[in-house]
Amino acid sequence: MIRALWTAASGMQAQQLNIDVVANNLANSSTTGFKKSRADFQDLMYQTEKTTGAPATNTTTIPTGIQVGLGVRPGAVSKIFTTGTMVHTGNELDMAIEGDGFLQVQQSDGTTAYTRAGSLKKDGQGRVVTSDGQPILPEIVIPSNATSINIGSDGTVSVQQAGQTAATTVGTIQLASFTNPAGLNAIGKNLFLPTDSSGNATTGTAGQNGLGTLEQGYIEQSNVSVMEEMVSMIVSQRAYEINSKAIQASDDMLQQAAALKR
Amino acid sequence: MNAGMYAALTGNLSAQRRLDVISNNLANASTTGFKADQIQFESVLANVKNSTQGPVFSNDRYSTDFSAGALQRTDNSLDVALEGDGFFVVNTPQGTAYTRQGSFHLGGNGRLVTADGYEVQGSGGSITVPANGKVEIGANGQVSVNGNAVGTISTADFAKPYALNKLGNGLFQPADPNAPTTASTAGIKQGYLETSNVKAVVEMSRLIEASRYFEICAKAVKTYDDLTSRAANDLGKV
Repeated sequence: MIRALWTAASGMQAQQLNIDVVANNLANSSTTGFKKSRADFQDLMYQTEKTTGAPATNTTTIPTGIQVGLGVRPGAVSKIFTTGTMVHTGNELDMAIEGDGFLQVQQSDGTTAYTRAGSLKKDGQGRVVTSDGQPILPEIVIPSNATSINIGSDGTVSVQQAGQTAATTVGTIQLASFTNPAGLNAIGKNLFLPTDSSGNATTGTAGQNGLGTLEQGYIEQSNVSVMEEMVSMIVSQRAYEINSKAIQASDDMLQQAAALKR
Repeated sequence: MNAGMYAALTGNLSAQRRLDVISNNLANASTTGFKADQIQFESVLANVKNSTQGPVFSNDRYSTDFSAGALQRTDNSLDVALEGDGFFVVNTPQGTAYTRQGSFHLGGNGRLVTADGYEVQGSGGSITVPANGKVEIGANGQVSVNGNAVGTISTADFAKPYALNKLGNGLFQPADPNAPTTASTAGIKQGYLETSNVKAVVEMSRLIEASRYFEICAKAVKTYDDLTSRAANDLGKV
């Protein structure tokens, strides 16, 4: 009885985590370059009350034993890297990656983080930076007299300068890819860090070796499907409710057991 | 005391155990690759040959429902689901174990592992995935990266009815360590996971059934108690 109480409680906790994940996905449904998460669960240990195959008498064995499970625990929360919708913005420094790959961002501590959010800006020194002011790698500086910026699908950045007819190439945006993007560690601000599970980044030119191409003037929206999340939410909420009913049932039974004594 | 009271108490205990199993099923309603357990009602008095023998549990029919869960699309390259009978083969500290939970990851050494870090077994031992490209897993389990085959995910099956023990974490082990595996006919689907096969509605009705059964048995125990109390207190009165 008490066992069932705790088992069902672990079920309620698991569904709470599920709702937490769904809530974060919904909260970020309009975040550029956001990738939705999914919670994975695993069953806990089992108490074996009767072992399968143990001798029942000296000539027979027990065909199926009895194993009572003790509930559930979260196994992993992993990111799902499907592509979001591409939206046309017309901004010169907005870029979406069509296909696999990440932009490389230099963090203030010198380490490299990776992002799919290509809504880039220029800072005071003309460097191409993220919305948080972190420069992308390899560093690209836009001259102050540039009248227009052009980003090719292979990441070549060229500018038109005042008084010149020919365009000048100022750098190339390189992309990075991972064997297992789902293993990346999300650190917020649309940034990801590599882990043992994701493998190290392989950098390369956009459009080569399976890397995607860059689309100037577009941004990738989040890949959250609001409809799907609503369905998950309803399912988790009901599962939460049903687990609470199991707790109520074990409580009722305990109460009846207690009532046996006058 | 009399056997009837023990029979009723046994009913209580069996209802309790049934509730434990139902709670575990409900708790795992969202666990990938989970298979529901059930304890069926059996006569607890069947084994009582005479009133001096206490009723025993040996007729509680426990079984695991190995029917397939629904497939859910995730689009993750390392999520795989089995379509058909069979299991993935996993190397664990407790020896070789089997699972239907195909949410795989990459370990630090580039090996294909489960969420707990146990190595997924391929035809030639563990599978190492080179860190430079797109992973594709075919229906036969062949893992290729950028078109180069790097291994084949093994699947195995057992003779039915299954005699498997659960280890937790979605793992199964044959009750008889020497049970031979048979070839699995399951196809592997990349980008999908098999959801839990727990049916909430069925479990809810079993929950109601178990709690009512408990209530009835508790009433029976109380009645026997009343009878005994009368025998002790009222019989001597004139």
